[in-house]
Amino acid sequence: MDARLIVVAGIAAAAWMQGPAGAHNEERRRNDFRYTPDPAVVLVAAGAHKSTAADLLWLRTLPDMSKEFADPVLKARWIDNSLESITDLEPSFMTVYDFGQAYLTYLDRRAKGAADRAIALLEKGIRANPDSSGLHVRLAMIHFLEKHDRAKTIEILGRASVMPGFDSLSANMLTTLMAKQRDDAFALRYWVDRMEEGTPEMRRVATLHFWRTKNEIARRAAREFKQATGHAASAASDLNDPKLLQPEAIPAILDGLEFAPDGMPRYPKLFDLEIADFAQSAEAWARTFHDSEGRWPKLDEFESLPAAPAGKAWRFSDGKMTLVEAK
Amino acid sequence: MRDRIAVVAKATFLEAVRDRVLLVSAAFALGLMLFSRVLGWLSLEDTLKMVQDFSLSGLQVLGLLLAMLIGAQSLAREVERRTIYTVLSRDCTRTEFVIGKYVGLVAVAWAVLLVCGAFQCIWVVIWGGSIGGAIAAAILGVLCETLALMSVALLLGALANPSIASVGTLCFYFAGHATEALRDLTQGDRGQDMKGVFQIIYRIVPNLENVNFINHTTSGRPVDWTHLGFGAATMVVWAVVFLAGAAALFRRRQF
Repeated sequence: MDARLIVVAGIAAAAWMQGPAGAHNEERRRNDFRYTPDPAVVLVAAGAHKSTAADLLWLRTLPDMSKEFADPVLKARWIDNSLESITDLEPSFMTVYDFGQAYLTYLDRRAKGAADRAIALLEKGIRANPDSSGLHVRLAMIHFLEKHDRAKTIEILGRASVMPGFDSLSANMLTTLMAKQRDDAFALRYWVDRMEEGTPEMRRVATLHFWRTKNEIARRAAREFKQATGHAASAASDLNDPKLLQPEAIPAILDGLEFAPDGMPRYPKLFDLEIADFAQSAEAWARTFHDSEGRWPKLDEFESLPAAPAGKAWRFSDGKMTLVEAK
Repeated sequence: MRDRIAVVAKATFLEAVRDRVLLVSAAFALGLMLFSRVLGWLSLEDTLKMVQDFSLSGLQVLGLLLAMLIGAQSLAREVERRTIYTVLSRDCTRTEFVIGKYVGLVAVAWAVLLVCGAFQCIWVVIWGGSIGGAIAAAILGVLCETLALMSVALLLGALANPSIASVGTLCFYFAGHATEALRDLTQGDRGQDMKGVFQIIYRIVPNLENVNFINHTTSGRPVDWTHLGFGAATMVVWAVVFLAGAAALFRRRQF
């Protein structure tokens, strides 16, 4: 028989058989049959290629996070084992901690113990990467949002606050929580320290947050003053009370403090800073708009334009956002 | 003596360069490097990590392949082609011949690894990375590992036929990278009955993880060059041990 005929016939037969064989494969490899061996064994088997093995396992796990499994318990076991193995193989694989905790606290949040598993994952990440402010911030957020543990949140954010890369939003959260705990001096000192370091932009943001924190503390003190006396505070001197404010923070809080007719404390300086901050953000957005549309946006195209103060109006011209006298 | 070793080394180098196996092995490593970009697309935000990891893994596998396919067969080929008689009938001793073979094989392996390493660096730069101490340390580590692998391949090549020597080199590679993880298996309360055994294995089997710095490329931590230097020194010590063993075995061998 002609050998070429055998080759062609063989290929045709194999191609035909692949149909039912492939169907059987799909049946055997349903999502629920995922299996990872003991993470310790994975570590031995990966040998020299721990990073590469971690990459491959991650690429296998990532799509499964959003897939439906018939048995959620098996899915949880598969994902947990994978995350454990990947972070054993590559303890500095930050994306895995990041996505892993996000999966556990958002996608899988209804599962029993999801928050505890996310905390365990992030604590493992912090043990391996003690200088990562990002992992600390994520851990703090889980303690705050899922466990409602304010003290733990402050403790973790406090540790993160001295690490490089600690972002201003997290710092703002820390100082707000500190202010709520009546540690006014710490909250203000944090921003005073930041105002003396970094780039001009970082100093500008720190100044804005310093005044926002003052405002937060003054509002708290004004509320407590009203509860204690039965009437609203009307002058800065009303809040000059160690029962309302931490004594060492009183001079800073009272500096520049005024009261609105409705009895709410306010800082004109903060108002100016907020206006300047808004104008800066609006101008940056307008430049992006200009680059993509080829024209400057009109005033009514700006989203969330804050109300201009009495007698003033917003004006946007040649890429500059300013407050002008109202006509 | 040095001249005779240099002559054997040069001949070995030229012979290996002409070998097609070398090209196929290098093509495999380069293919893995290029393929790393495909995996990068799948990883969402770790493209560069995937490119670096797979490229460096490819480089390390290339070192292993060269030891298995060229190193393990080197002595047997000389015997098979009967060129060994010509060499040994001159005043070249068997020890000098083995050392010359080793130097030539390491030279050719390093040359190929450096070319592929340079390609890998360009590939990483193309995809937005930069060449820092971590990648340099990982490549140097692969070069150091080749010292030990090539000496083991020669030792096994002097002891057994090329197929067994190749498989033995592969087993040595796996064992050399697993001793540390095996020892760690028994930390804590686990496997206490095997603790002593794994501890002994950890001490007496060459630990190739001493020069494996691939994980450093993503940790972002500075490379401790003392660690690499110490790891390189252990590889040199083991290479001398295996080479001495290869020379001893080759001296006794009957053709």
